[in-house]
Parts: sequence; C-alpha cells; structure tokens
Amino acid sequence: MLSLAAFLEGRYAQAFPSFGSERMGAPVMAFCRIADRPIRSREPVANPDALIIQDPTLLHQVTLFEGLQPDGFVLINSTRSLEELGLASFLKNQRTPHHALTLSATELALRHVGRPLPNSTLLGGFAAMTGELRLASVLAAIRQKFPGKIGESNAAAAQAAYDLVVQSIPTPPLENPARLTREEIHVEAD
Amino acid sequence: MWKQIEGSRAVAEAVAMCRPQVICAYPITPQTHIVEGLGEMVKSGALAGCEFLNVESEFGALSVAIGASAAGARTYTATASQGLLFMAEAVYNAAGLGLPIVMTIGNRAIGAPINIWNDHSDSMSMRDSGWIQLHAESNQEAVDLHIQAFRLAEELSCPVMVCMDGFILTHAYDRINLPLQHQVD
Repeated sequence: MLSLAAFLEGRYAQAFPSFGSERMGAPVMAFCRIADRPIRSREPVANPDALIIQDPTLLHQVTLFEGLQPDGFVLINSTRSLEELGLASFLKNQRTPHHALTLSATELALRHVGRPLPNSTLLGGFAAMTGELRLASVLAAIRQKFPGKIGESNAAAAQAAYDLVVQSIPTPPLENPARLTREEIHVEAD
Repeated sequence: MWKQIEGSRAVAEAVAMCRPQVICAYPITPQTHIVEGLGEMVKSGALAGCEFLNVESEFGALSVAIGASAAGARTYTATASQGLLFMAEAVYNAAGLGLPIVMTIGNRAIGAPINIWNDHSDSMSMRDSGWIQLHAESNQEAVDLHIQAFRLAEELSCPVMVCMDGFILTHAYDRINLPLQHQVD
C-alpha cells in the first residue's frame, strides 16, 4: 500500500517482503523504495530513511536500528512511550525529537476496523510524520487495495492516526522540509 | 496501462491476455500467486474459454498440459524448484513431441534440506531438455516475455519456459506497463 500510494503520486516505487520459515507469527520484514526515477536495485534496504515497526516485541530480537540513516524516521506501534520502551536516550540523542514516535496503531485499528491489524493505520501516521506522501494518496491506496467496507474502515483508522501524529509534531507535514531521498524500510510481523 | 502491481499478478494478467485454453498447475512457492490469480480469473469469468484443472502433483500438471497441447489447446502451467524436478520426465517428453506449452518458473533453489530462496538451479537442471528458456531481469520483462513466449512456442512448435527470480521478482510490487488486450491479440 505504501508503494501504491507513491505510485498514485506519479513516483516510482518498489516493495517486497522478506521472511524465513512459512509459519504464523514468524517475524517478517518488508522493504519499500520510493524514487523519482526507475529503481533497478533489488537488494534489501540496508540503510533505511524510515523504519515502521508493527510489532514492538521485535525491538530487542532483531537488529532493527542498524543502518538507520542519521536523523531517519522511526515509527513504532505501541501504547507505551519511547521512555517506557527504553529507547528514549538511544533515539533522542541522535535524532530530531519528532523523528521517533510511538503510535497506538493496534488500538486505533481495533476501534475503526475491529481487528488488531495495524498496518494501514501506521501508514497514516507515516504520512503525517514524514510528509513523504500525501494523506489523500495513502487513503486512495488503502481503498484501492481493499474495495468497499474494509477499505473505508482502514482509511478511517489511517485518518485517525494521521490526525493524532500531526498534533504531536511541531511542523505540519505539508510544510515539513523532510523528504526521503533514498529508501525506506517497512518492518512488520504477522 | 501503468499499474503498481505484484510481479506474479502482472504475469497472471499477461498470461490471461494470451487467451490460454487449458491451465493446470500444482501450487509451489514462490510460483503460487501466478496460478492463484489465473484460477480467480477463470472462476470469475474474466478469463473466458479456459479450463483450469487442479492436479495431484507437478508430474500430473505437465502431463495434463502435454495431453491438452497435443489435442490442440493453448496450454499453460507454472512451477518452481522441486516441482520442476518432479516434472523432469514429462519436461523432455513435451520438447520431444514439439508441443507449444508455456510454463513459468519462479526460480527457487533445490532442496538441502529445504530452501525457498532464489537461485537458478531448477531451470538450469532442465537446460538441455529441449525447451527454450527466457529469463526475465525485471517484472516488466517477465510480462513482455510471457506474451512473446506463446508466439514463439506456436511459431516454432516448441515448449517455452519463462524464468523469473522467485521472491525477488514474483513477490515484488513494481510499476509495470501492462499491454491492452487488443495489443496482445
């Protein structure tokens, strides 16, 4: 959906998963590159400009932050704060404060979608946080991927996440000068 | 028409535009999404005039393809890895009979003890079987090569494999220019 949103803005995008054994609950990583010209590399993203962490139980199991660009974006799905997750000093020492945020995306998804599936919710937060994609593109991608009622409820969750994140950062996203130039990473767990 | 689409889905749509009459396949990662997509299209009626057969194994899949192609039907199947090895006897038969079958390989490593990742050991093991092998570098090439494969197979009376890297292409969402039906016709 992230790559589709970028495509809808006329950009080039590539998304691909990486997983090990095929079983429910195994950690899954997925990568996304967005660019203004054709993307030829198919390597996993080693130096992401942004990390979206869907499952905070993976924080201490996988070397998630290795290779993250200086001042890159980190969006974590959690009801807890960065301080409570023990990440505050690590993330805040080297980054603009609002480049690392937690978002209770599972709760938002439960409220709007009725199921604990935080992925489209996090994309709303991602759009607000980075300004890399317009919210309208994210919502259109969600509705295109899931036509009908499911798409509407997921779009509502993404909208709610967007509104929540916009309130928590000092610069509104449309004026946010930050624009990813290289590549992004999108981490998730089934 | 430009689309942001998974490689497997793009190949399924390209194959459908080639108007196959018989599709038979046995699922194996990372090829499964292709025949799943085609199965949906046959069931919904989007791919008309096509029979989709579920078979009990890869050997069965290519054997059905051989029978259907020998009877004159435009025939398609897809497999990967051990699936291709299980087909081996029929792979040689299809070439020996000069049957214009088109088969996608979602290239995947073979065995030891289980490996789902990409290499070319599956299609390379069948290099001298008498099939033409077309290898795609990108998903755009994979789409274009499938359309060419049906034409090549029927002009030369020779089976054609279209090989695309498992996961790296089959599972990647890319910006792809899909042709229109009248352009393929």
